[in-house]
Amino acid sequence: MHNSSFKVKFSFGLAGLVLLSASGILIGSTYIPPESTLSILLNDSDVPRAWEIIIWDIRIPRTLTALSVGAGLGIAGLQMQTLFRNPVADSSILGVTAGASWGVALTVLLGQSSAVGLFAVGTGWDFVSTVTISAITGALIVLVAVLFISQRVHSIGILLIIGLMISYGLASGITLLVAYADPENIQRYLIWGFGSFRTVGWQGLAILMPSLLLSVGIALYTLKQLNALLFGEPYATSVGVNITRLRILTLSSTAICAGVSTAFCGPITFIGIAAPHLARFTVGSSDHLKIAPLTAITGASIGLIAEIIAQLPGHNSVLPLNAVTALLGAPVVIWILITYRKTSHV
Amino acid sequence: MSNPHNRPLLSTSDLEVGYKDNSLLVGLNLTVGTGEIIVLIGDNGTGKSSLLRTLSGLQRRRSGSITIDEQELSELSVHDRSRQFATVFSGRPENILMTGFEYVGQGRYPFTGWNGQLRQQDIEMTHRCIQQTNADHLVDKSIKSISDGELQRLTLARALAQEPNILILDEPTSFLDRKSKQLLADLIRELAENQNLSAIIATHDVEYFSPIASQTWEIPTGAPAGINMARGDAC
Repeated sequence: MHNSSFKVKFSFGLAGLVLLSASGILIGSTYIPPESTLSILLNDSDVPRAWEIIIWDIRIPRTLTALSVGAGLGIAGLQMQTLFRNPVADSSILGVTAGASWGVALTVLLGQSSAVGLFAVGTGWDFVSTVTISAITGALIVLVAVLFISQRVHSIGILLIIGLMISYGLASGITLLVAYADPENIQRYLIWGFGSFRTVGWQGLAILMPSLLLSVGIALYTLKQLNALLFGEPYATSVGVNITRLRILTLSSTAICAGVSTAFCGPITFIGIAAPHLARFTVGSSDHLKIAPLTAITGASIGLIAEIIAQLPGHNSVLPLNAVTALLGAPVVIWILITYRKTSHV
Repeated sequence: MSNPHNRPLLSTSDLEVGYKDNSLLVGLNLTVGTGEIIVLIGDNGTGKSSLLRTLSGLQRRRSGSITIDEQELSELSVHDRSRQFATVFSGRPENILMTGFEYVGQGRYPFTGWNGQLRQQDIEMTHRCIQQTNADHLVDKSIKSISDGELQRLTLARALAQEPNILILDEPTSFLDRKSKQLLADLIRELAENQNLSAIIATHDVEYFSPIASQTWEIPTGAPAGINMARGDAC
């Protein structure tokens, strides 16, 4: 009974996701007729070369990026909400996103991109932008710090506050950099902060996808343990969960996701908070085995919808992605807070 | 009920319970036989919960030894420990959406594979445990919508689903009405009689549990203390 209704919801979600992916490939600022799109996908050569490039090198990578980053951030949000027992947690809570931003701010705002660029060329990583390398470095430094601290802090509540403090500290560092930076560099940094799924491309995806797969793979492995954790650490330990190990796995998985997503797409907000809640309310269960697949589908859908809306045909410019996700996400978060008000202690 | 077949299941030798710089209980030589029910009483803060956590391996002991099923407790893996002890904590889980069945099914944790999927035998066991606690009507109900007494029966069922040798119950009746308290005490007595399950119950509700207990452990006020042991009413 429950299983069958879950399967129906899951199938509907999956079908919706396929439709959205198709839309992501069909819709764009340049109009390409659906039949031409199909022949391009089937490798027919009767279509303008420009259209082929648009489909293969812009729309498909962009759709895959929105899909995988959306799914990854959704799952990471789910992990954080359970680990920290906090309904408004997402992967940015660890400070890893702030670490990535700080790395970017440092290179972009100080105008040091060329130095990192030389490093990139020297190491053969020149296809990855200097911004990406700085972001990954920043995220890694914070990840190592968080893992180090988590070994020494027993209370998960204190770990949460430490994560927030790291974020605040890094944010104030960025403010200082902004205060002394060139207006031109400030603008470049702001545009990075808008978030975007379209700057990644195939070569970026070659790093992004395996990293996200690793992150989601670790998450899937811990779903059973996260279920036990719903009832508190003492209960989880009593049924056989190794809490220290679970924390390290969850923090690493989330940080990998937040780190590479932020590095390649900028700080993407809202998906991580909204997707798990939408999934939870759709399934009507807190069982991670059920909500994790739907969280991935929901996160991917929000990513795709936001991406499609951001560049709807009819206007030439592209809307900032975070503005679009926030437009979708803000009402959801408000709804969550109102629903939780009665029982929440947050 | 002092059963001649009872063999010692859990025993301690010169056990000291407490925290790094705070000794709560000293010189404990306790023995729990199979199918035995022990009532643990004492004022708040005297170390009832600490003792329960120490006995079930959730808290580090200060000194002494604990033997379970002829093995030293600290040599057991987290997984093996979870096959010996199942703990019933008091209090309601917050903001959790689950049916009664899903909730009890969580108790199969030590038996399911890495992905936690319930197999046929896990589903059957879950149903059997729900039946044992007379909670059949709660299978499809959301745990948010049921009473404290009903939830406590499901929590007991969830502990049974773990197939433990010893049930550890930490103030299991603190939120319950009189009828639910009596029901819970009756259930535990049945489980001890029929399945040879042992139980250690920390409680202030002595009137419900003393009649079914074979031992009473009383912690006097003033740390570090020993434990006053008495034969229970059910001997």
